[in-house]
Amino acid sequence: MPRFTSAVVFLLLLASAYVQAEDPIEFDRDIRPILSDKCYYCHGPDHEHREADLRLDIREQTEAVLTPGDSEHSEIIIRILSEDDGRMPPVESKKSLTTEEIKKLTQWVQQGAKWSEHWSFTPPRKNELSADLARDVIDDFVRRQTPENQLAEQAAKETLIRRVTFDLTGLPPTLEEIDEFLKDNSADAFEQVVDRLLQSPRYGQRMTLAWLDAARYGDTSVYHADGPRNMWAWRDAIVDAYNQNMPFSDFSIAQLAGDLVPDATEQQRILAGFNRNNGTTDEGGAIAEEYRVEYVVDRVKTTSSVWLGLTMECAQCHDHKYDPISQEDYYRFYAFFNASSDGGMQTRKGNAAPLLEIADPANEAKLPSVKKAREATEKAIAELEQSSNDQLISWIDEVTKDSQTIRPNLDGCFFRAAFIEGEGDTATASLPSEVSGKINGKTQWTPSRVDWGLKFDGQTFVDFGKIADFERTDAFSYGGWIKPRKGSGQGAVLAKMDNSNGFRGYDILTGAAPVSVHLIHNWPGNAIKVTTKKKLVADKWQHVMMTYDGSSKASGIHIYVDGKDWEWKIEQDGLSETIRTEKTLLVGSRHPDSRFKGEIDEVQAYSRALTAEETKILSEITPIGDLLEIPFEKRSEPQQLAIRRYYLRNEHEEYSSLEEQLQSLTSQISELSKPMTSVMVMGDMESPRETFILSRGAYDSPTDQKVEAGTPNALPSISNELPINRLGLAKWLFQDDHPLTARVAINRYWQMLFGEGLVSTPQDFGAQGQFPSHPMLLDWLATDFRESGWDTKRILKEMLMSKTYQQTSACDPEAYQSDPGNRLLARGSRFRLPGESIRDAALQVSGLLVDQYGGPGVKPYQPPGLWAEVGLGGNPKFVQDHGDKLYRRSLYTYWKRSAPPPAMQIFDAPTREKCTVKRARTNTPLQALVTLNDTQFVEAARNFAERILENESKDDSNRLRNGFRRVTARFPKEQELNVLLDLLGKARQTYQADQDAAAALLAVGESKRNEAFQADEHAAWTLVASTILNLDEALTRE
Amino acid sequence: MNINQVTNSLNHRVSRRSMLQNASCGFGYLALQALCQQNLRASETLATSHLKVASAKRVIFMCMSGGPAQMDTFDYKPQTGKKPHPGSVYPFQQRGESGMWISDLLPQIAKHADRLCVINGMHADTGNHAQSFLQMHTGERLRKRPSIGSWISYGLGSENRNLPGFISLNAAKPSVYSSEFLPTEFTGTPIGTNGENMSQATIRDINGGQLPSSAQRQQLDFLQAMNRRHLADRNRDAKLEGVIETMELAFRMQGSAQEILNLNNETAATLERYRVGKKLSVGTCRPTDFGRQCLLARRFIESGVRFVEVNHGGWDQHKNHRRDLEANCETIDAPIAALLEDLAARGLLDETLIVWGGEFGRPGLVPEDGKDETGHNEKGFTFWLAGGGTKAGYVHGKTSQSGAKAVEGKVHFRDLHATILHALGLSHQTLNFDHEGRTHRLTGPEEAKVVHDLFA
Repeated sequence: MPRFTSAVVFLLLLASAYVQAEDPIEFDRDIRPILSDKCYYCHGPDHEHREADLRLDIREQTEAVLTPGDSEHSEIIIRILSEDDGRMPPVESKKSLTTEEIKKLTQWVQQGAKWSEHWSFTPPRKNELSADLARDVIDDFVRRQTPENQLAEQAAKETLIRRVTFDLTGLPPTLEEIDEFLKDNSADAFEQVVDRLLQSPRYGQRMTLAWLDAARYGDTSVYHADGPRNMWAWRDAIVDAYNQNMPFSDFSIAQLAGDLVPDATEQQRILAGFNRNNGTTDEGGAIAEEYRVEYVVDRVKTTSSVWLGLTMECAQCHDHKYDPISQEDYYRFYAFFNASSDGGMQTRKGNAAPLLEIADPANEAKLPSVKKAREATEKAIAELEQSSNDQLISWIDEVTKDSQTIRPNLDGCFFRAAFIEGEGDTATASLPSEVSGKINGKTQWTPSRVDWGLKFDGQTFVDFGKIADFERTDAFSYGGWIKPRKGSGQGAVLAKMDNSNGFRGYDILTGAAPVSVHLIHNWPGNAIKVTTKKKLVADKWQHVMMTYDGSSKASGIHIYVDGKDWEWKIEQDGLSETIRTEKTLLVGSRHPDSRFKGEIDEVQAYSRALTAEETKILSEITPIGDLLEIPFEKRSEPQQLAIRRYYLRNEHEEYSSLEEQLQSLTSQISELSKPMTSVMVMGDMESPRETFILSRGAYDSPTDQKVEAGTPNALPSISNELPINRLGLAKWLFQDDHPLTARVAINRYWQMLFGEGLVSTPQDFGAQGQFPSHPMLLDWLATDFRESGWDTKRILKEMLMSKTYQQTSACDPEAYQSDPGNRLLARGSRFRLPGESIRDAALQVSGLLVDQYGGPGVKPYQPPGLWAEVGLGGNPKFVQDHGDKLYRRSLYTYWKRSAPPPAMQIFDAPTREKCTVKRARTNTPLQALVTLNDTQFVEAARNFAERILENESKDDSNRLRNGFRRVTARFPKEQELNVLLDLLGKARQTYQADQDAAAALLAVGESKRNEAFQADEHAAWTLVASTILNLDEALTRE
Repeated sequence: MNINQVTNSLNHRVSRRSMLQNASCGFGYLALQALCQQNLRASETLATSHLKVASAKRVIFMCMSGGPAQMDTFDYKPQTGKKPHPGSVYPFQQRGESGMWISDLLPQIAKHADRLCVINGMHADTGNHAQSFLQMHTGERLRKRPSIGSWISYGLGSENRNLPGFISLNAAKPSVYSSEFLPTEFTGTPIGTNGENMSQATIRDINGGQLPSSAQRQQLDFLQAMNRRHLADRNRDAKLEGVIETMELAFRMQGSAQEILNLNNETAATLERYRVGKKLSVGTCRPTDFGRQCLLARRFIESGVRFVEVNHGGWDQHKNHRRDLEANCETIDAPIAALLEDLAARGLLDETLIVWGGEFGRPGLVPEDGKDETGHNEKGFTFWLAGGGTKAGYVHGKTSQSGAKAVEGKVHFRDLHATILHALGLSHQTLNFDHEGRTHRLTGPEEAKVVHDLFA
């Protein structure tokens, strides 16, 4: 045992003497924080760093080093006082105990070394109290700690309405609202204001703003190019949920697992986007698995910060150093999210699966009538098919008389792909023998003039293998039926060509464009190219055939369209070597590009040059010739139908107009059914991945220790009735015995209304977090919240109705000095407004605010270069919006997460790349630059000045009072009014003398100026308006 | 109360004012501590870290994004043996008294060889631009963390009360100059974002262009008069007092920053030496007006800004390696030489640490094999330091024969960060900040080494 020095003995004596006079030590409040900060690193939950096999976070283990009531014989005290090598904490740990801490530990042992479990891990209870109403309970608990058990007096009514309006809606009250409240002397006047505000749609917007930080919401994907995504429907669903006062339990369960809720409503399914708000990547060089793991890690962190108030992420690499969360606990929790089906590589262009498409309600309303019209048209078509039978029979008789029109017997056809299959991914070419063509890309069979054709989307092509090996000295012809897509450029209809070998081979290219033919040995030096002067018509079947006489001259080529010899111009005419290539014959493409877009049918190739007459016949023959050759009784039903359709389409005018109508209705329906937007949502894999503990948390170092999904051991176990998946996890949070969820949620509401939570570390309720300033109050409110069915509006109202909330924030200097952070709540709290409220308030008082609810993010004024990024080209550029979009509430500002709106960031808005449950509140010169000089604010001041000038009274003082009240809610004092009048006078002099300066000031911003006001006068008032908007009182919730 | 009375009533605040002015760690930091009652861990830290001797007071961080080709600039890799291997394809010369090898592509910088401290054994974790560039600034490649400039201005504050402590010229994306969880005031202030015309660039909203300066002063006086009245009502609320202070600072900043950005009082010869306004746009090489950036860096450093970052993008020359590299080298050569010359002449080089490098390097070309294309190499590349107490004319570490990887004197980004902090008298172990339940530092949880060999 180390020897005591006399100094130590003295200290011990002093400590024991001291104890008698002191308040009782509370383990949770006074001792655990010391042990956690100074001892747990080596004597805490983390087994890898544990020294001497001693844990000071478990009561039983402390018995060995403690003698309750006797600090002199307690090893723990002896060691911390020791001056030799055994001193704790050891010097090399760079941790040391302060005298105050040593005193507390000694007192604690002297008082019996009472121990309790960490406060936040035991369920909250309501302590018995006389009061019925939560508001009185709040005051009662707060009074127990304030000096002389007193609360400060109630704030002035003007202050109160401004305070509560900002707190609940993020905006200041209007003059009318202020006046109404001032006039109302009834006892429940304030309660009526609170009720009105809780019903305002702006309440949901204000609540959502805080939630977006926690949910790390953004309009972009964060990593790499940080490209756009669409999650605004999720954001709007949150606003709705708050406005509907959805119970916090339902609200949470939907966000964590709305996709798994049985019979989920659309709103619940949208809310399941919460954990898709994380940043994602699509960078070519990135390792998908590394990012996928990072997404899971992010979801664990976000979920545990928001609902548990725990720093679970600390256990990713090792057991938690301070809280009872082992690395295994971490990976069990992780396993819930490791089952997610979204990949490591996502996209920078919109949303990645799984996603939910959301219909446009306005379009949905129009759908039934259009659908009805389509049904009627379909019916008319069916009737016409029935009634036209006789006409059909006589037409067949007519056409079959002349065999030539049915099926010309053209020699030399050795390749014919008729595209009759209508299904599968091969197309067969006949003549002389059957060849199968493999369809590459998307296979889309489409009804053609008769049976089927194939649709080519720019990716699709058919590979028929190594056939049709023409030489430049051969005569040949090729072509087919073509229906080019509207707006499509040239693409290869048929080609046997090797791009990589000087484009050797032959092709025919077209689109809604001219037709070109290449015969190439080596482009462009040794090749022929001709291009027609006219273009094909889009969306119409046309017969295109090239013929070539083997002369190696451009003049040997003809291009026939619908049997007409089209004029062409020569682009190359010098072919003297072979055009033969090893490449295969493709329909719809060359090797490997120049893809055709549109539809193709009946492709043929001939080993001779067809004559003009022959191509005319080919373009005019009845394409159902094949079918008509089949004897009537042997025709199958589809064959008969094909003949009927062909007849009706080509010979029956009423039928074709009905079909056109049908087509147009169908496309209307598809247009109306197009989703308005989509939202990314959570989704699990059919068979979830196995989860292994990752060594040091590294994605590429899984250990062989496999874990199953589960909740941390130190917390209540998950009910047997719950499924072991995200839905079970979400419901577990709301089990009656859960110690954290309600406390964590209540604490954030308190933080919103009082500026600081009862626990000042809302993200950490663990051993390293702060002990609550009012633990019993927190527990009482948490219990009440749960018992009320997680009724958010109710609990907020109780807080607002308390005298504690309504106290004036003014106090005497001594009181301020003794509690600058107002932890005792002996006065009202006073803090700088969030940046969003500062901007929104400026827009509202100036009359610019466009109070539109929901929709995609908008881009107000911002420096143009901000989105530019080093080392990456082709990224989205910032394009500022105009008109109404400049004046929407800040909630709707487009949130590019790698470069968020700078004015908001300067006022401490987080980037929202990661979950944030508490914003910093700093004070920097750049903030003053924003509110004084930023376009948005200067423009607001100009418009505010107009509103002041529009006032009925022409008296300067009255006008100033009016403007001052709009911003601060109160009347200016005489002295203040004089300062403002003085400024107005000086500003008038300035601008009367300098009209250019006036014009420059009034030119800021895109809104129109009311020219009725004289420029110098308007400018002077703008300066005054800007001054009022920049008052500290304007930027502060008093 | 008229404005004069208000001013008089403020006289008793003089002591506070002078305290702030005299505080070694600058205005913002102390004010923040006092005003927000932040936990005091950082100030304890600061007290101990200040015990160390600083060899540098300020930093100019020259970020060469894209990955400069070290083997054609500072890491000479001549052919060895009979079989051609990747290496230097441009001629190198030995320079100065130190005989340091520097490529002919940088003739002006080469004249300052005896001032450079070259690190040839740099290595990084990833060959992915965005991730590595982030790590080069923050120590982390996946998660957003405070930038090195933020850490340093958090640790040391600004020497000039009228200017921010951390300025980024021709700034890259915000995550590399963000203070993240450190207080907002330590975020880098961008002047010009990538691609912007640097001659027009300024601090956002600094220019109250719509108001004549006199009118703005007038407005501010009245505004402050109102605020002070309010302060009297509020019984000296420290937060409000802080707001009044920062508004004054904002106003002064407008004057100071504008003055520094205005190059009218520089001679034509100086502008020519720095090649101000010369912009090469060749292949990947961007027209960054690098000369103006270097001259502005000098002017900000002279005014006491703690950390100035200059940026030149475009070292990612995959194809047309030679053409683009030549343009990049031409862009930076004269301006950097002029900066070194000026700082030395003014006695500022001793206390200003210059750091030059990119997020990784490139593999070498094989001479005469006809290829002109390179990729990324994070396993071995070059950084150089100058001034701030570093060993002059010194080459540290080396790469393998073909330059493929660092083999001796290896220095990771976290070691470089620890070393930069060390030069400033800060310890990477104790310059930390508690956030979300744990203690963060620039170098992260891994061990980092200060490279003592780099110091004279």
